Amino acid sequence: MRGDRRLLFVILGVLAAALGLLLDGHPLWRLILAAPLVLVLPGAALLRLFPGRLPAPGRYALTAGLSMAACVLGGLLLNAVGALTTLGWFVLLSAISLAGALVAPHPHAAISQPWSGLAFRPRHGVLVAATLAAMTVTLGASLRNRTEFHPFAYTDFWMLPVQPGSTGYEVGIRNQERRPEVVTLRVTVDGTLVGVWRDIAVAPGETVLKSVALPEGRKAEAMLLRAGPDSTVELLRKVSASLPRISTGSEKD
Amino acid sequence: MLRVACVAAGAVAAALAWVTFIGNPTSGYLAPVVTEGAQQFAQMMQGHGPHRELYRAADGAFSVPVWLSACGIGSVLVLCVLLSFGFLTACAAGRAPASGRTGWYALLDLLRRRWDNPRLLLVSLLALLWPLSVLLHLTTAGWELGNRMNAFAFISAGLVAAFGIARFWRDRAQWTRGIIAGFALALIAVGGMINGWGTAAVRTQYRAEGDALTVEPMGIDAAAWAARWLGPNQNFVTDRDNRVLLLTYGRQHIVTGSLSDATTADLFISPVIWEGLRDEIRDQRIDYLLVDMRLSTQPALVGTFFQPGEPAGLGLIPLDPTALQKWDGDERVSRVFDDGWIRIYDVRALQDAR
Repeated sequence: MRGDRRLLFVILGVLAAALGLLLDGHPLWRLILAAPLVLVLPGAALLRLFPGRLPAPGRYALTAGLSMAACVLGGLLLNAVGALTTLGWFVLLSAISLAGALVAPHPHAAISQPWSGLAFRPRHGVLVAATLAAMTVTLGASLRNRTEFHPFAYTDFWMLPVQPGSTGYEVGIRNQERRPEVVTLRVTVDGTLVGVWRDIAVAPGETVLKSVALPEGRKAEAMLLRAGPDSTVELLRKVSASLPRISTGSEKD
Repeated sequence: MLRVACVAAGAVAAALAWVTFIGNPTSGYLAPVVTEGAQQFAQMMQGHGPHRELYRAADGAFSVPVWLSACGIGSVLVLCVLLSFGFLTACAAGRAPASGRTGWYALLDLLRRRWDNPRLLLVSLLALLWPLSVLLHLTTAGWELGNRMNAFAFISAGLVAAFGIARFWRDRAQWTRGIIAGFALALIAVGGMINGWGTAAVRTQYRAEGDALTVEPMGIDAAAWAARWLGPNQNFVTDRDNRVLLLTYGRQHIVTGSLSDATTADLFISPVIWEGLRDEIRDQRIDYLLVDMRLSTQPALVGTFFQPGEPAGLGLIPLDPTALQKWDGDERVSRVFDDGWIRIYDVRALQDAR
């Protein structure tokens, strides 16, 4: 019966984290929903392997500590296998938690009586609620500050060959100005104009790609222009590419 | 006892084996920090030698607001008081209770190795590392070590401080003492965060080479762009904080040279592209340079733009923008990315150049 309840807790924790992953809302909700899977369940699973029986406060501290240790070592493991992503974390921590709930505990494991030694009283509930409220407000304020911290508005601009050594190039524009932009793209090779794209509208967060085949030359330049004040045109960005030498038949001979 | 000794010896041997055969040698990195920190502290106590101004960045201008500095200093003072009250109590709690001695006499049992809780004694003794970490904070050579040591030393210091609180607040009914203890603990927590973060405790604006204050969406975006469009594991050279972003978000390989080598800094500060720079690119197989033009607008907050071997005083003034842009003048170099401040130059063509 107790094993069923433990498994139910773990499944609920995993489902809550999964819900947090699927929700595309405020990061605070994701943090709250994922907190049990990160801070409690892996430690509780690992605690079942330890012999001995700890009194309640030490057990809870050890649960949180083991969970954090599992996260540290799990981070190294995920990095080694190239899965250091949100999904990677979810799979790893869920696997540890579910495995811990399913396997038989050590005969003298500390968690054999999971909630012993704890008598909840109303004042405990008030204190826990007050602590959670303070944590939520602090975390919310911190996350709001983080999401609002954009000291620079900018536009990414780049030019790269489609294939290494080829004369086919791709020019990219990504608008992070937090406002719509209308720009003009000019591409030159050794100062000679080879392509112009006028009035390219780029919405905030949007990426626009343009392909261009460059003729033989030494250096290509791509310039991003936009309308400035008083009907002037301002140079917004400039990138360049040192062009590969195209081998001719006579050179091959 | 033998089993415990074997486990301890095995743990030490494993750590040494890792350092020797797999990890980077740390003795050459940490030893100068410890010895120079100790020397500077000794000089400071004798009334001469450099000392570090607390809550003020290396650029001399940026500082933490006064009320936060007061919180930080207050937390250190409160913790010192609690440690002085709690240290002997914690030690005495580890002695053998069978002796029946109390007060100062209980400590005599420790000297005669009559104890029944050696783990508590060990943790109590480790609390002595906390004052050491605070002293290292005062030196210019050892403050980083002190800052990093502080978090680990606090595990022991927190336990000993709890003994100090318990001595002070013995009865649940003593509400005044309870409020004072709560205030002291809150001050320790808040002040500890301020002392740990230093000048980054309050985020006001972007700061060049300011560690946490440097990390912002544009830098992260540039590093993520490198991962997406250039692919991982390209050999990059850049400044100290963009390295972190390129390593994490960019998944790139960072070329730093040795700690005493200033050549990688030369790639950014030299006014012209000379033969030595091309040799560096060829010898280190450098693929890309990430140049952050914001480094030409302000000094380095932590006092270093690139690494310890860079020219003395380089971090105290903004970099020369002309020197940063010199790579535009070489027709074999491509500026593949530009976001207005951050530029990425492809210098692979120089690897084979003679």
